[in-house]
Amino acid sequence: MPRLDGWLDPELEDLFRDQPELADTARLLHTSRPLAEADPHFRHQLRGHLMAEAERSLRRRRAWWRVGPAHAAWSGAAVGVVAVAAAVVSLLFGHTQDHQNLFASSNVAAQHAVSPADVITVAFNQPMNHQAVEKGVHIQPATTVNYSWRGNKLVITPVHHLVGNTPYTVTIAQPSIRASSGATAAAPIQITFGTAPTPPPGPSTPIPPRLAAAALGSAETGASVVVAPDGAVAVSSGLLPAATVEASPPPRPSSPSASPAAAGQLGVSIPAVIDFPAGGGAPVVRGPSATALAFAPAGSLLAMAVPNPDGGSLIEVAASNGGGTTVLGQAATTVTALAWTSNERLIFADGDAIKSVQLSGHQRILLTLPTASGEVDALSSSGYAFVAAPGSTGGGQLLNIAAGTSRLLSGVTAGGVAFSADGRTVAWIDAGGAGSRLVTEPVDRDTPASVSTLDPSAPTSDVALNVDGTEVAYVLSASTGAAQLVVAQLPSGAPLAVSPAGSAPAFAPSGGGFGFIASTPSGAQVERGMIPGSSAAARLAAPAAASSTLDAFVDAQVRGDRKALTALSGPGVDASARAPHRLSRAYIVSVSASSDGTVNATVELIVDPTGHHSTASVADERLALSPSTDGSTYLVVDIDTTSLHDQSSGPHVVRVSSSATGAFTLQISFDSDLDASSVPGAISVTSASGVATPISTTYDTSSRTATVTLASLPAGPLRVAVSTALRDIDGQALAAAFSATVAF
Amino acid sequence: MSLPRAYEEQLVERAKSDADAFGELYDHYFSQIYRFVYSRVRDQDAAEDVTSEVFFKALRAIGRYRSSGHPFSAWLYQISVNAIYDHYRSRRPTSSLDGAVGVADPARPVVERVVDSSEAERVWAAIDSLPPQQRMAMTLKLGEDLKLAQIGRIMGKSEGAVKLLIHRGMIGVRQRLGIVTLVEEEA
Repeated sequence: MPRLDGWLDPELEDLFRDQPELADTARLLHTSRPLAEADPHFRHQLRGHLMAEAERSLRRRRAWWRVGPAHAAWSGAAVGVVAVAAAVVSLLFGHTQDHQNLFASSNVAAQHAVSPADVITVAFNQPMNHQAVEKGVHIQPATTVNYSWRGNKLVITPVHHLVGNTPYTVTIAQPSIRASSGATAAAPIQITFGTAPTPPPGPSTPIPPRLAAAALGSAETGASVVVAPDGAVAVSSGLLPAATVEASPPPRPSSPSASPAAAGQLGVSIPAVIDFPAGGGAPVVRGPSATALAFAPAGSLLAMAVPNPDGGSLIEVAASNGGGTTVLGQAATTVTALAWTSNERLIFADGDAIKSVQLSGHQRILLTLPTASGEVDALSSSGYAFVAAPGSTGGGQLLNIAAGTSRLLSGVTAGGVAFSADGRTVAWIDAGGAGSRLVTEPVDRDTPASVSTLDPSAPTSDVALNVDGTEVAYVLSASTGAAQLVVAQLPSGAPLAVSPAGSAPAFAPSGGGFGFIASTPSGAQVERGMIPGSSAAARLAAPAAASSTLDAFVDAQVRGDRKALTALSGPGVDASARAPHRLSRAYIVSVSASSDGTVNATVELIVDPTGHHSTASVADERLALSPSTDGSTYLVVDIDTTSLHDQSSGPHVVRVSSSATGAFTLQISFDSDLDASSVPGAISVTSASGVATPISTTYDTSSRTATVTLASLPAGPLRVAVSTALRDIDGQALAAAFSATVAF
Repeated sequence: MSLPRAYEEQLVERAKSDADAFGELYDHYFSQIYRFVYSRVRDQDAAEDVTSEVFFKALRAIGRYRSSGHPFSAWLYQISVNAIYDHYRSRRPTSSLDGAVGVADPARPVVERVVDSSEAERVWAAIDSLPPQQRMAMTLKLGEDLKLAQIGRIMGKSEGAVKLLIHRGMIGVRQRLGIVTLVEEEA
């Protein structure tokens, strides 16, 4: 028999050294073994169910448990810093007679793509002196945090989330690592990690761009909209002129399927579910007004909860390809919320229970609501529900449907809760305090984080999240009564766009679709929105083609993609030889376009810290880009890169951008939480002739961004400088004086 | 990566009374167990069902878990093997497994069959019909690339015993694929 080529486990090679046919069979099995990574969504969901089940079963078990004897004191010979670079590390050893070791582990240790919205945990294997440990925590870049404890686990929650695409080092000083018994550790803890390269927080511009939108049709006041992945928008209670509508008469339970009828059968006076196709085709009436709507993840099906005359509801599904409407199930009372958990199954809530129904029509009760419980306001694709508190007291419970467990969301008012389409994030308006607060957190973790709104003093309502919880939409009610719709990035809260009179925002379950209801002099109107780009459009005063090349070039440097670097470079430029190897990440600090067409950029190249080298290594790079010969794109024509060196402690400038919307402003973003009082005096702007330009500077703590407003715009490029007078919250000065050229 | 033994033992003890500790065990072992299960059932839905079953069983039974000197993963793998067996038993009779293997064309050289993915599935299906101990040793070695010593710890056997199981398993697979072997098998 011919031999199979290929790798074989050395142990098997040895085992079958004298039996090549068995080695061949082993190779065959190894080569053909099925390999698969689990769906992260499944992993996440299963964890949630297990945790809920664990909490429930442990509550039952705890009655039998007995706390063991107190742990002995520690001492030990451990020296130096203990890097929590692996999942777990043994910190030090106790006396041989008590054998009590201290272990610490962290959820973020040695990871390179931690979500900026994540919390940092440090789990110890025995009770700690909370105050002492908290006192010893130091985070670089400086970050304002809150501390909480879950048993022996320290939870460090950044007040304004972490900065994306940034290396972090968390140190706990040795004398502060103190057990409840009073014994202290012999070495400090150091945890290094990097955050995911999410889009950088947008600048806190005084006047965010207006949301571009196209009017689709009229709607009743109070109607809601949903958006399909392809951008189709459906409204729960729309009003359209008969001539523009294809009518699909509402089905009856006795007639489970109905086909769309000819256009013009429905008059303007009958509110109906109306589907506005993405391509701009004629709107289609899907049925009578609905109390809840949801597009399936694939977008081909629209589920509707349609009230019955007897007080109940029908659950109907309409196919977007004109295949008609099918009644899947019924509810005895009004359905208040509806969500798809897959393309085959949806869940809905009426006054009595939360139920599921398959496309086959198979329906079952998932959870019976307690008598006198409040209304289910929202359902998630991951199986969570928000149940409002009875009456109008505000607040309610976030309910894990499968596990039957819940936790309080305080101060929530009607319509004030939304889930991301992936079901992982919940956002709500907490109106329980003096003002209203926009809050987000993962559905399976009680780690709320406040999000800055455009006007913290204005009441907030109508919250919506995009597919993965990276964008939020909300409505601000001005004292004049006008409702301003805001779309903002998460976690920074930096506004992406506003609409002066919008409500009921909705994102598509995938893709970038967005819809809302606009208030116009002629009444409520359904609109399809276009959210401006979250980064490139707002941050760079450079041609789009140059920005595209720049982004691709920096990305290729991080990936070490020599082929891509060559393709993006001009003749004679050996890009792959210039950049340091094994980069962890990089970010573009500033970009400016010259009058000769050249675009200049400054870039920070970073190698994350490791267990062996606890400081990030950085290199500063300056790039020049010019249009290609045929003008179709830009190429990198010059590179100047320093060698890698240890990153200095203290805050760093991570981005400088300019905006001419409404006023001439510069936005300077930092990687650290700053001492706000030190910011204005540390920033200066000079003209091309070297004359200082009058400026006023404000600092937004949530986005860590200084906004510099110019009193006037001198001719030519400007030089913005940040001096080392700038301090972070820990009193550390700016790591190095900074300057950059900017243009409007 | 394995957890340090002492830490793992403490974590398991904590998991009996602390949901977070169980969560930490889950975070550490989920990928390993899912991959192992998937390699046996080769279907995403089934792998998710079985993996869920494994961790729920582990959660319900962890209060009774007593360390026997073997790593905690050995216990999880053992639950996984049983859950996989239950899965197959509920889906199809053992005879159909043999049937699935039997349709392979024994006349074709093995080297030719590997290019055929459905043939690859049948080749792996041959492992399903091996005796349980051989099946487990083969899967952990060829599916998970574990060292013989690790497999021994998981299965509570010596390295030599694991070698014997794999040797017999390999011959068993060849027999089930209709490949003639010249190696004599010991009783």
